[in-house]
Amino acid sequence: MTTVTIALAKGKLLDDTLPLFKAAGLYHEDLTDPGRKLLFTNDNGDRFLVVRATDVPPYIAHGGADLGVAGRDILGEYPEELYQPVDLNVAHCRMCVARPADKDLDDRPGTRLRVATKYPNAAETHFAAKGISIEIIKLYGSMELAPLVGMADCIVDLVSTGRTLKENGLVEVETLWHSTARLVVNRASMKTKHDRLAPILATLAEVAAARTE
Amino acid sequence: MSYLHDLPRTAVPRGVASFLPDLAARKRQLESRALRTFRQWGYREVAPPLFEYLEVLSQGLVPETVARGYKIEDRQDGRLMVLRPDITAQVARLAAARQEDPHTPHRFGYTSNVFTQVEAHSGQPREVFQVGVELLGPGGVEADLEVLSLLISLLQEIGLGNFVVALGQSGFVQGVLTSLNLPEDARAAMTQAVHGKDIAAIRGLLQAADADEATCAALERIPFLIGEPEVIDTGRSLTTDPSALAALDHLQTVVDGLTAAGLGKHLLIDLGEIRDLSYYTGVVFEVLDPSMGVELGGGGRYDDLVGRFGHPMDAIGFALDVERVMEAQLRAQGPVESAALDYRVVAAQSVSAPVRQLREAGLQVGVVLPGEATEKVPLLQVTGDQLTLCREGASPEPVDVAALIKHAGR
Repeated sequence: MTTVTIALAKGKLLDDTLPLFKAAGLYHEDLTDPGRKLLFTNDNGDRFLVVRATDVPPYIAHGGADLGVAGRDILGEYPEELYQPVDLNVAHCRMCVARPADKDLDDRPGTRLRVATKYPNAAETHFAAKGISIEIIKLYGSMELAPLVGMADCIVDLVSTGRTLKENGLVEVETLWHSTARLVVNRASMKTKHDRLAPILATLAEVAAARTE
Repeated sequence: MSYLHDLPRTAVPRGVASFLPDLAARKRQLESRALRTFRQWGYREVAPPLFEYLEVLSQGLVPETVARGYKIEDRQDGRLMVLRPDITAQVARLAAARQEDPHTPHRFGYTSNVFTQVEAHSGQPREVFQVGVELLGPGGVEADLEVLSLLISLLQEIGLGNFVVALGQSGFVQGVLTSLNLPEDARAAMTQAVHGKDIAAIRGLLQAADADEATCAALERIPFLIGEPEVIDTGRSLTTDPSALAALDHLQTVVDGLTAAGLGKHLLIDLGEIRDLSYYTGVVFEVLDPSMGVELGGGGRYDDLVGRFGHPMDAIGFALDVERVMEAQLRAQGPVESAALDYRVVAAQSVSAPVRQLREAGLQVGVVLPGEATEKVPLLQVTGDQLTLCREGASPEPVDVAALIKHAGR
């Protein structure tokens, strides 16, 4: 039988998506506690890679893996288009603009809005559509800090419960879009391994749709 | 210290590279093979220029290709020029310029490099080598069959055992979308969503368009109608749009024709494949190999393109990425032993009559310089018309040209 290679994002997303893949017959028992190991091969010969969430798209695009899991937030920042045949209906969150509760965005000191974000594509697209000139300060985490110390006017960030924003005195002012985890598939594999992938995709779609979150 | 000063003295820019002898030989072999096959099918080689006027060539390029092109200024007239980013547009331009009868077929083949800017650290090359053909003039299913038969024959000849030609018909998705009556922005977004087989985006757009149940069911399935030719029938059951149905009939005829010619086993249907709707107007296809995670090439029918250069005619073509095909060949066949020299002679004898005869017969006879290691290539000594073969560790033996040629088996 044709074997497949699956790139899984380490962390909470791994725990959320493992049951879905198990239902589709893709499983390795050590994945529940991967430790430091990065590559797992099960008895069918299917391989599982455990990588950083942001690294899933390049693994798929370059054919290092046939399929994988990535959030819409991460896919939106990746320059190449990848097939996204299943909305896995997990890891629900939203991309939003947030600012300090006591400041108005129209009331900024300079000509350009200073936006701190890990998602420059999302931020640029959003503000360009509104005709607002921005200056992006790319950060890799805890962007809530940037407006608090006055180096940015607002942030564009992924929000799940909104608790972190609240605890840091920020309020959501706009929602760009809602995000979920997606199944991503290599463009060539989708065709050359279609016989193997079609039933996997069908099962994943079914199980994902049946989930309520 | 500036970045420039930090460059090693032998650096080359990212995304370009040199072909060293073994690779260069394999590249040349593949390109020659392709050009020979093209000639055998009546496709004559053309060699368009390295750069063109940006505003002229752009008429035949998709916006992304224009954006990614390398532009240079023409200091004579101040116009912008572009390093060729796409051969098809160049061939379309030169076909239009010839103002020939659009009903007479023009068959062109090429082997050429194209240039494109890429994202930093994306692992993509900026110089891409291509071989391909364009058939311009008459359109229709016979021309589609001709080009696809040529493509599949070439792929068979170059020894890719398991290649797949994934075939679609852009008119199908186009027809289904037309019947949706979407505003222009939503239509563009939907086209992209179908092309990206992005189910969440498709659902979102259908919901926003308040589409009826049948349309939703159709558009959610179309990107995944992949497989044996039977999926064409499934496609038929999903739409009533006449142009979409006509596109499927057309595709069926092409598939039947290729199957009847014994070329069916490499075909896979992908009804969601449209490549680029602003460019392709009929059959579209991509060449894949199970050992490779990227396409080896592709093409399709582009009946509107030549007309943008002022002289409308139908057209279809394909291009293969030479380096990717070479990689697939290597994976299929393993490394090929590179041809070593047959004999060596000293410089003074390098153009003597017997040595010329050997070379004319296809043998490789190089020169050995004083002190040069000969890597076990036997030395030939020429005295008048007499040849003496000197092998390492053996006593010299007289030989004649005919025996050496026969021995080499060429």
